Amino acid sequence: MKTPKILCLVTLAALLLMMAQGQWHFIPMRSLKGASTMPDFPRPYKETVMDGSWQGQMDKYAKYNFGFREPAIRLYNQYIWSCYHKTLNQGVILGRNNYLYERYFVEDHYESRMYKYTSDPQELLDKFDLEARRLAQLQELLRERGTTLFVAILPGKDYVYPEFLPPQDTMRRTPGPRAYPEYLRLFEQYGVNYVDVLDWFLGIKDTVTYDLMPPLGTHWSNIAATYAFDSIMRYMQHLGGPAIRGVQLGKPYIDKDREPDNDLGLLLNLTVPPRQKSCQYVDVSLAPETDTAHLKPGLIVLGDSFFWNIHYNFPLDSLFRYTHYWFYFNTIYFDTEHDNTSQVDLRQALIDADYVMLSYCSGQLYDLGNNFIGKALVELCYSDEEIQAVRDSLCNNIRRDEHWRQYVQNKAASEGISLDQAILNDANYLINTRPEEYFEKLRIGRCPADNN
Amino acid sequence: GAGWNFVLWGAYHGFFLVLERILTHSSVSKADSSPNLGEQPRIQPASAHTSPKLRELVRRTGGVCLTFVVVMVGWALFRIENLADCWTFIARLFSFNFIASPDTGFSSQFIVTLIVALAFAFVTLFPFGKKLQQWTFHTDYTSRQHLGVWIVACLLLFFCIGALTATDFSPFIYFRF
Repeated sequence: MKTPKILCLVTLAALLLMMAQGQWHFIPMRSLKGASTMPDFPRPYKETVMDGSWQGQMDKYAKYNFGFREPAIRLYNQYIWSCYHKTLNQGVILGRNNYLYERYFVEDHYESRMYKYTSDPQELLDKFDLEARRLAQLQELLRERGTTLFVAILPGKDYVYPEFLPPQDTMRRTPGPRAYPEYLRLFEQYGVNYVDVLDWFLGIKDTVTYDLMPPLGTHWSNIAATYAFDSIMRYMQHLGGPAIRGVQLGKPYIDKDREPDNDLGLLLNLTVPPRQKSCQYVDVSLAPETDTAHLKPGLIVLGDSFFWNIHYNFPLDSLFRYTHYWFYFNTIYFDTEHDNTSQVDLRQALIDADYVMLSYCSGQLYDLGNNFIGKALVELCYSDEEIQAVRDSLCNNIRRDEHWRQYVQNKAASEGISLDQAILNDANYLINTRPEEYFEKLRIGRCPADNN
Repeated sequence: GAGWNFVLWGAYHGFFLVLERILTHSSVSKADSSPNLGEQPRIQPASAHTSPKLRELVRRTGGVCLTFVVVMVGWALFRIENLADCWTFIARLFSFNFIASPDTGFSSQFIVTLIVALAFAFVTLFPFGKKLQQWTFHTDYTSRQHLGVWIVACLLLFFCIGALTATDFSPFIYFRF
């Protein structure tokens, strides 16, 4: 057989192999790092085929489901990185001295984070004010029930290392308000319990010998998180909550075998990821137990991904009765009974806990609570029957309003859920995000039950 | 999906193809008509003293530039579905406004891509390019050459697939990994 014919057959075989790999993944591949939304297979409908949208969806599906996708993406990313020192990942920004930042930190620094939510600065300021007032109210309600609520403001890389940020791009916008300074002011004004870890980081930045936040990572470094949480636990007890067993911190050491904090470096998805120097660590051990009858407190942590470094370093099972991690008030970790916050009896969970920590870095403060605060107020101030009555009324309103119903119907079709479920989702969303509109007594800022 | 811009592009392309055929046929017809034997040669105008090579160079350069512009404008018709946007785009092509886009700028990647594109677009105008084209497409390869070209083609294919996919892939950190 002539060489061209052989090569043609080999090419066809390679293409078939690629399709098979995309379907069955029988050759193990190093997976790509980071989260992304995997598209579903688009069903062809006459309307979507004729207007061209099905073709676009199919193109997207094919891009995510062909074989050997991982090395192909890494190869091209490596070419772009090596030749032009750029990244195609829109969420990662390359700063000076090879410091990497997540996009929202850069946006926060240049005061353009506002535009993710609104173009009206006053609207954002009003949102901050409303959340802070709700938080103060929730704090008081929980205090009366024996639960201590506080906010831990964690460091953002744009505040800690602004000197390595890239210059502002040419598309400048009118600066908007920044969440961190606004919430500091509001927390003071409304008496919200908070611990400002960011301020502490800025104070020690020039004196410490370790990276507070690694060049190729987005979170606080392992060692910095360890020192910080030790201080946070002291603050918790200062608030008057149940005692927490003491810990002892060892001497810092470098561990070359441990994977460094380089999640942003990995997110570049290169064939040869950028190297990061080894990090320093501190071992945590329990202090001698002085009170063996002491009941360990229960802790709920609600917030962003910064808590993971605490989870990895501290013997939390020995310090707390339980530590339930409500990740962005969505997925739940370290709770054997619940996977998602929608499954939780929120009222009971908050009353049972001894501490509730809202843990957010400066860049994530714009979404403080992730709609937890409004929902918690409703649950604590109203009975299940009263809440259900409001929910039923809202659902009926949606069904009766032609435009609203059509909007929800379109949403149900795009999400692949029933109309009833979509109506219920909409009603719940309104209750959680605008409780004052539907629960009159929340407007006067006081729960009716506390009047007794 | 279907779109009127594709119809327009077809008509535009067809128009210039027809025009090119007409003009080429006319010039071929003129070249074929030679003076009868015995006729006195006419007095030649001054331009006739221009070197034939120079005339040919000017003709070819003009033809290449004109064809390039016509084809590039045609691609705009093909690519942009909204006709209003298409006209705006074409107007910008001829605006001679060299202020760089804030999104792409005149980055090193842009310049390299431009150089490669220019090279592929015009290399066959030159003897070296013609030889390369001849060798690539009109020469019988040995088995070794087949294998070498095949390997290069496969690598480039894989690279292109990576390029098509990587530009739309922007994962984010949901939790620490």
